[in-house]
Amino acid sequence: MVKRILSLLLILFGMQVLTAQDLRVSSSLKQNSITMNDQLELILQVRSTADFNLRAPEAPMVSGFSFRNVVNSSSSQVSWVNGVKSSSFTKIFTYFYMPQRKGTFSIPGFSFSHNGRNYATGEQRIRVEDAPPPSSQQQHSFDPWFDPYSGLYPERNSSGGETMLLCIPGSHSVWQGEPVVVSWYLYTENRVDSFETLMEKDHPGYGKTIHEQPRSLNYEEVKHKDRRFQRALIKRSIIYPQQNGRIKLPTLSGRVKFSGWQSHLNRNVDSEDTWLDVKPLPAGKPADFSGAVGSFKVSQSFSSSKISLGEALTCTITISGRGNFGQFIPQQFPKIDNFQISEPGVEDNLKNAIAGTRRIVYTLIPRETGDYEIPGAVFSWFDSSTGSYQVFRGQSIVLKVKQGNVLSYFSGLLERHQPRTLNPLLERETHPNFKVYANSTWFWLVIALCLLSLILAGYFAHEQRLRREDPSLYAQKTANRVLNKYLRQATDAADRLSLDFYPLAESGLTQYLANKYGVSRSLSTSEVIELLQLQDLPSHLIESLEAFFLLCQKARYMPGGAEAANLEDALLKLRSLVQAFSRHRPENNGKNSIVVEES
Amino acid sequence: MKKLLFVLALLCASLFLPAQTITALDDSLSQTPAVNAEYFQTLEKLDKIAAQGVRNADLFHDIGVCHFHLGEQGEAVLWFLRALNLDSAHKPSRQNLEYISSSLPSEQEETHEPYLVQLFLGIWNFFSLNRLAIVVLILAVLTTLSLHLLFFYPPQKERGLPVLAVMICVILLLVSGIALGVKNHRHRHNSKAVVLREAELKTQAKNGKAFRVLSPGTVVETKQNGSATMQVILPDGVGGWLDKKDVELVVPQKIR
Repeated sequence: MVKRILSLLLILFGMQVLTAQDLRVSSSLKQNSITMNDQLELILQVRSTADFNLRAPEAPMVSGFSFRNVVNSSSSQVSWVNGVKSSSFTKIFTYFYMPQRKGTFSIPGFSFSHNGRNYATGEQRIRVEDAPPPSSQQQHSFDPWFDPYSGLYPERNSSGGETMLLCIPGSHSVWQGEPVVVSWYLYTENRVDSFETLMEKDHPGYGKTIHEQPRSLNYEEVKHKDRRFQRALIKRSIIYPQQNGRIKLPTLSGRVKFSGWQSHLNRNVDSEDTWLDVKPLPAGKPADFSGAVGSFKVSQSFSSSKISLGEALTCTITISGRGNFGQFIPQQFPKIDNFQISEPGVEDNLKNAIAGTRRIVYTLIPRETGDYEIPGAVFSWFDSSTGSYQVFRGQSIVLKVKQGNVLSYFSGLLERHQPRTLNPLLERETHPNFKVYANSTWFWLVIALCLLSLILAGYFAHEQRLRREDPSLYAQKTANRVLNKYLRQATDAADRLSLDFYPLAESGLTQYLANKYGVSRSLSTSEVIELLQLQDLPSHLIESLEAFFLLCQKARYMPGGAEAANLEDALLKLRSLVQAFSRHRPENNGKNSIVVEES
Repeated sequence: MKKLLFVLALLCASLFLPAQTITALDDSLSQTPAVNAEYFQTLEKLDKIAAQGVRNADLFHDIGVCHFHLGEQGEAVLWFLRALNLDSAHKPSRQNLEYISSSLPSEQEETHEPYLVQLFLGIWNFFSLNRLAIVVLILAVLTTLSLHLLFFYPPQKERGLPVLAVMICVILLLVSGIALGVKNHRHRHNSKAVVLREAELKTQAKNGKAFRVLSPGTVVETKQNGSATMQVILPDGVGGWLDKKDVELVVPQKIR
């Protein structure tokens, strides 16, 4: 019996232990919508009725966020109700993420295992919006563990201490226009969680620009009025005094929030009134005073001393130091005849608004060739360290401008540097209307001439090739041409079986010989033959010619000398004769055999 | 009556208050073109010449310079592009355009093209429409001469040299001829337009939702030209619709 009770008790105890290992898991977001300045707090809560040991589950990857940190806290509660003990153990893991862009994002659930059991939570959504305007910016530490007082003031009474906002100018006495850095610090002896800037009240007599505005409270330990304080920079501005005398610096107001149990101390604080003595600039201002006030080193350089027409010369003035860079404007370059001068271009390489290097670039383009004296650029400023005006006059140079050559057309073809100034006006005297050459008549005329010459060249090249490679075909073609040209009428007469063939053939052949060998048409047949014999013609060719002339004369003058039936034979003889003459080249010196083909 | 006087006194006081407020200073004085009466007068003079229908790259460049110095960045970009449309080798206009583009926030983030692309673009721009026409003519004459040489080359000699000369000339002539055709087509049908004032890019032509604000001087490609709106494509490939009053074509419709 006892054993049974004991075993039952053991089973019940075991069941209790088993149930104690069950975890209840939930996840939530601190806010469903945050700004770009906020951080996402994803909370994982794990509860159990028994104490448990769980390390922070792996942080889910959230698109659009970067994981920053995770902190955990644990609590336990034990209560006795009507003699029954009930326990509750809770662990809270808070995951911090920083937003990287705007939008709506889904946060995957957690998934982890504990003592062989798997646990998971659901997906959630978060919206990230633009940050609010800086006027109501709240500064706090991004580090969730940050405690500026940890270990410093263990003995301090949490409700005591002083908190104030101080305006500290870099200098209390400056020249008019001389920039001065003004910082607002939060001095505190308490545990300040955040500071929200509510308002910045301006006063007359200055211009200003924001120099630095940290997004978190970064504390440093300082002594103020013989007391130890923690101070954090709230804002840093640059003040440009524009009015002489005593001017009041801007008043910053904000709300200080304390953390945890000190939240009842939350209150608004204003910076104390702070004044700046502004000295007027002395008399004797240069005529071309730029308005620059500060401590500067100035130098000048020219890009070249020899350029071609169409190229540009650049003159660069380099101003380094500390001063009101945002307040002065570059001066114009002195005018030079036959030069176009650009508006000055400015290249800043400033560490901040009041310190660094400024380059003022002038582009000069010559209009004509020659030797020119280029004056140096001028820059004037008020030196706040010596309390006097300074004028920088750059050294002049002699510039040689030569005529551009063909290569200068290609200059800059492969260059790709960032232009430093806007090119000046070209100011041409005339503006001829733009014409597209490709649409002009002369363009197409040149193209047509090229094509025509190609056609002609092709034709003659073909003739030449034919004459070289197939002389008989060439001679035939030439003979046809001759027949067409000189003996057309004779051929037509032969076709008609007209006896007019003979006089026409004789006349045409005489004309052909006259054109080819310069034999006069007024000569008799025997005289023609004699002259042709002097032309280094083969004897059989002359004989054939003489025979044909004789045939024509017989046909013309002898009764019954011509018959229509012989016309075809006579035409063939004429054709063979012309072919033989066409084939004959005087320069061959008779090497080429000229044979009158007998039909 | 006392209340009325009190209110009036408050109103008067409120009129003086703004006079005491200060404004934050602008650091970038260099980027702000000063309004200059001289540029205004020059612009009036040049505008008259342009209104007569004169198309001249130098004239368009000077109009762009005047607009820039008068603070009209969009107009300046437009006229520099017009100058380049006539003469892509117009160095001052291209440099000025690059100078303005470098000050645009979108351009500052843009990565530069690879060297070979830059080289090709440099050569492409160097050969303007008329330079290409001259090149085509020279190559046509050279091709003709080399063909003449080939036609009448002595048959007993090796013909490799004249054939090579012909081939080189023909290839160059073809390339430059095609380039001339493309350039001429682009010159006549330039689809670029410039945003003249801050404009909203909308998803649709009618009742579209604005999803981006374009700054003056942004160059866009026009795709479709409606009655009141224009479909455009931005340099980053994003498309949308713009109000016609906010953009102007580089080549006006009447000239095409």
